[in-house]
Amino acid sequence: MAYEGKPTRSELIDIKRKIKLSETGHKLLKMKRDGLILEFFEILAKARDIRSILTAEYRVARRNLTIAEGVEGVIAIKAAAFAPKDHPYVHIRPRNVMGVVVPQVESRAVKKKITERGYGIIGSRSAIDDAVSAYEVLVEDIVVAAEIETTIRKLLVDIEKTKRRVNALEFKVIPDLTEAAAFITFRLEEMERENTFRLKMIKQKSQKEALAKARAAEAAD
Amino acid sequence: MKLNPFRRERRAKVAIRHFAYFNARVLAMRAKLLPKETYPKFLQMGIPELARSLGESEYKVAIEQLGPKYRGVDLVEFSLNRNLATTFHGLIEKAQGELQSLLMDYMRYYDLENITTALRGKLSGISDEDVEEAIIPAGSLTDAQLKRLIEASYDDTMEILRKMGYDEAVDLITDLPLPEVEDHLIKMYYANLLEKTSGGSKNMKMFHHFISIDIDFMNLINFLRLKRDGTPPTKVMEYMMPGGAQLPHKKLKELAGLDMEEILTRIEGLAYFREHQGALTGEKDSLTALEASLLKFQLNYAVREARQNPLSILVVLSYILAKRVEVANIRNIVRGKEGDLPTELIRKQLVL
Repeated sequence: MAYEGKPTRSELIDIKRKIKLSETGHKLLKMKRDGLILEFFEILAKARDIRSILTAEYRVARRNLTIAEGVEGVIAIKAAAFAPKDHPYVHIRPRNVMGVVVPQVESRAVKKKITERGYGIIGSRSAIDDAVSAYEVLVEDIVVAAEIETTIRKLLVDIEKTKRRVNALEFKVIPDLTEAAAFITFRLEEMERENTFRLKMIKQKSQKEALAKARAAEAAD
Repeated sequence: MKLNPFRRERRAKVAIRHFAYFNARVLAMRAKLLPKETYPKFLQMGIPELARSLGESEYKVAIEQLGPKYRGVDLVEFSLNRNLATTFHGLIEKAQGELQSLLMDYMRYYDLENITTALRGKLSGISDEDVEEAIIPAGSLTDAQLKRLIEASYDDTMEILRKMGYDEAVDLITDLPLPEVEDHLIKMYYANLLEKTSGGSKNMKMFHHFISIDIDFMNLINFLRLKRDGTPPTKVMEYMMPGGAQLPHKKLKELAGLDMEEILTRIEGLAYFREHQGALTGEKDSLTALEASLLKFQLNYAVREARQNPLSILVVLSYILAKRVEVANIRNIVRGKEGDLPTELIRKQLVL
């Protein structure tokens, strides 16, 4: 795109400053992008692990729940499910990864002693304990998975954004500014040359006029 | 009041005559229980086939009644519960005198379960329909009483419970959290049964021993559950009930201080495990197989004793246990099939 501003020296200084800033930004963003990609691959391995862990744990939890429903009956399980008064909760804090704010999720009060689960001990059977324990483990890991997967999603969005910025700087902003600087430099040089030429012409003209005046004075004498 | 010898003898004769008649009816009911060869067949069937097969058995009426409301596994399970409730109510109605009163006391366990379920539902804001579904009306409370209990507000429930004679339960509920109340109620239930059956006739002694074994099994399972969870000994003892046959309070207290390995070795020396060697050490992670083994022992004991004493209360107690086991077995199969459990795992949960 051709430069449309005023080709002045101050403009040139301004553009040169912008080029310098863009080049520094480009370098930093490139470093950020590489850092985010590294972080992403590190978390990706964890995400893959947690997914397979969750699948296995879910299978165990379902199996234990089915056994408990068989042993105690779906009614007793439902009655035990009515029992807990204190529900587990999660605490979310922001964490900064190379300028990307990702959540740090902590689960609390998920795992409980069997005496704290809210159902009576004497009247219940061990199948309920097994099912509850399996689901407690599952819930804890779901929270971990939620943190990892949200981080991955946020990192991906930010990697994409940073990549676009790096490319925009590298292939658009810096070349355009360089082109504009070159144009202004050329225009300034041309103006310089025009000026010199004009001065020479004026000088030549004034010399001619002076000569003509001298000749006219000689002729009058 | 002291009875003269003639009247006492006459009263004993009447009681024996009634036992003979009642036990004959119970034995006829027992003959209608599913034979153990049925379970391997059930394990091979799908749920609809199993439901149809049950629809041709003793569960026909319940399945027909609940058919329009439920489908699949829920239909089977709720039909089993309804049949259980009807059967137990039938037993109470057929019995007379002391036997009826003992059976009513024994069935009060279901009342306690129903009351706590209704209270849990109220405290957790669960709908009345869901709570109603969770009730097994096999105890002494009638359907109308249970319905009233479910529909009432929390405060009204306390009034209703007082009117029903559960004053002690109400006093506990106002002082303690619900899980502790549940445990207290069960303790009270067993203490009451033990007190009512202490001394007296041979039947009473048999009933007393049967309850003591029941207490032993409950204590043993809960003891292992709590120890496995790392509960301190003093806390473990809070959940133990007195009156066990082979595991009195003193012995349990002694065991509570030991580590899990030692406890298992000591417990395996009990008479209950002579025929089930390895039931404890083989199942360290899950106690469900041990529970099945204990239930099997209790059932075998009751059936054996009932055969040796055909005019005793053990005939009806063994039937009640066998009926509960049958319902639990069918439920295990249908729930296991619904959850795609391997057949071998389902088989392990069955008490055959």
